[in-house]
Amino acid sequence: MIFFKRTLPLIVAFTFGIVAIVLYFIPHQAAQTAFTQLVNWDRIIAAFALLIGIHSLVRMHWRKIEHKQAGWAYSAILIAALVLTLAIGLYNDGMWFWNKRESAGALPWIYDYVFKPAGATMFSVLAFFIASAAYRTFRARTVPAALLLTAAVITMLGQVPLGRLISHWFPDISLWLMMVPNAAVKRGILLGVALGVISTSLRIIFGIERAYLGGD
Amino acid sequence: MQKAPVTERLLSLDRRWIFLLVLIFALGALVIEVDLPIVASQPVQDMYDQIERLQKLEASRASIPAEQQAALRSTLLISMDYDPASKPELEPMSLGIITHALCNGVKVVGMTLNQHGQDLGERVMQRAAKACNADYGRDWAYLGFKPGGATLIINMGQDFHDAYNQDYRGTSTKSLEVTRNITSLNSFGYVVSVASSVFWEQWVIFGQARYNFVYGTGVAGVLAPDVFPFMQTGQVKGLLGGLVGAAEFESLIKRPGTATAGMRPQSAVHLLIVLLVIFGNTMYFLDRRRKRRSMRPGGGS
Repeated sequence: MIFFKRTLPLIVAFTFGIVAIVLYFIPHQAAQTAFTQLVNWDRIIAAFALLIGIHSLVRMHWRKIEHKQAGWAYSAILIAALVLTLAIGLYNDGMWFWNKRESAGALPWIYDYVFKPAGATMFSVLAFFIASAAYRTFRARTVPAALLLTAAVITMLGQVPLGRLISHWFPDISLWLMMVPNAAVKRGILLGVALGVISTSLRIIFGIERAYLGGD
Repeated sequence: MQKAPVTERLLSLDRRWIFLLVLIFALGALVIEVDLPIVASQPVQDMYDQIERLQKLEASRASIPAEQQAALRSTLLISMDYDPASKPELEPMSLGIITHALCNGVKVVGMTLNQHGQDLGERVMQRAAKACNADYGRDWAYLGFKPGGATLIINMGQDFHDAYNQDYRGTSTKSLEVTRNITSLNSFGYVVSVASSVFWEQWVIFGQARYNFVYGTGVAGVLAPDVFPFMQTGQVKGLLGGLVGAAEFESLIKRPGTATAGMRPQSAVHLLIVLLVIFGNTMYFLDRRRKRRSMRPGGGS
């Protein structure tokens, strides 16, 4: 069993990791055709990952309901909504899922009148929390904090037309802050992240990092 | 029981008062009409210029031989990589870009990397096409969603028709006039990702860097600072950052829409936050001075 649970995934990760890297940098037609094939496989696997995601989500929330953990009712609503949406999607307004998706029916209704308003509400509530957090926590306690606060105030006013109405300096300084100090810091972070990604990828390919294999 | 000093009470103000203020400022700004100066910044102007470039290329189509027309690279690819949560901020960008392109004769191909954005993308394209009297298949096409993200981008760069052999309606992309001559991402004159997450960056890393097409992006305001390093390297040509970016684009194309309308409440709430920060800090320093005074010998209770 250990061969299927550990050795085989390590061999697959190593082989395809190395092959994909090599093919990526070889411009020859044969290599590029093989690379296209690998990319197609990856996309098919990505689609199956959705199924694993659903399985993992249902299992986690089912456990919550089973053990009557705090907030179990929300988990019940989540599973009910998942099953209902899936059933409506498969029903496809009477045409069933093997036909082309219908543009009318209950699924677009759910999308328009449940999913879209719920998503928009979640995002718009942020404005209220940001205002509250800014009032409570944004303090010029130290010199760096004062600098940060000044930059934030200039950027906030520079990013809206009202800032230009007060003075053209607000959008000008705001753009300079974005183009110079912000870009310099972001570039440093990007380089660090890229090196981290390369290092983690190599660790996975060479079997040093094995967390993706699971716990047992 | 002794009452807490005013500064201390104001510092621990119930957050519901702040919520109420946000509501008042936002609603007030919607009611009170003020003309705000919306002037396009350079990154927004860059995106506008890129679409103008495509328009000029498209206008020259009739004057070049038919066999060279396939290599004209005048088609715009727009990937609407956002979901309903960020629709109010990002949809005006998509609508502005597509409308401007279609109404000026630029062919547009739409798609999405976000599974929740499939219907949003289609509706935006339909609205723009209706406004510009553009025909499906000849002037525009919508490819819809396919899973994969980064690998889909690579796949499109390798072989466009292999990645998308059908459009959203199930028609072969080889039979549509607008996509017939597209072989790779490199066949597009300009690629734009309107994104609320890391998708804009995936287009740079896995698309622009490898296939070297001209690329621009429209992102949620919170993501805009991340784009600037890529603008300096020339990998991103054109940026619409947040609702203000969309409003600036609307002002350039002279089609004021929801982004322009949103500038008043957004300005008002930004102003409120700045006032709250100033007020909060004033209270903080007054309170700190009061506490220091009271700690001195004979400084009161």
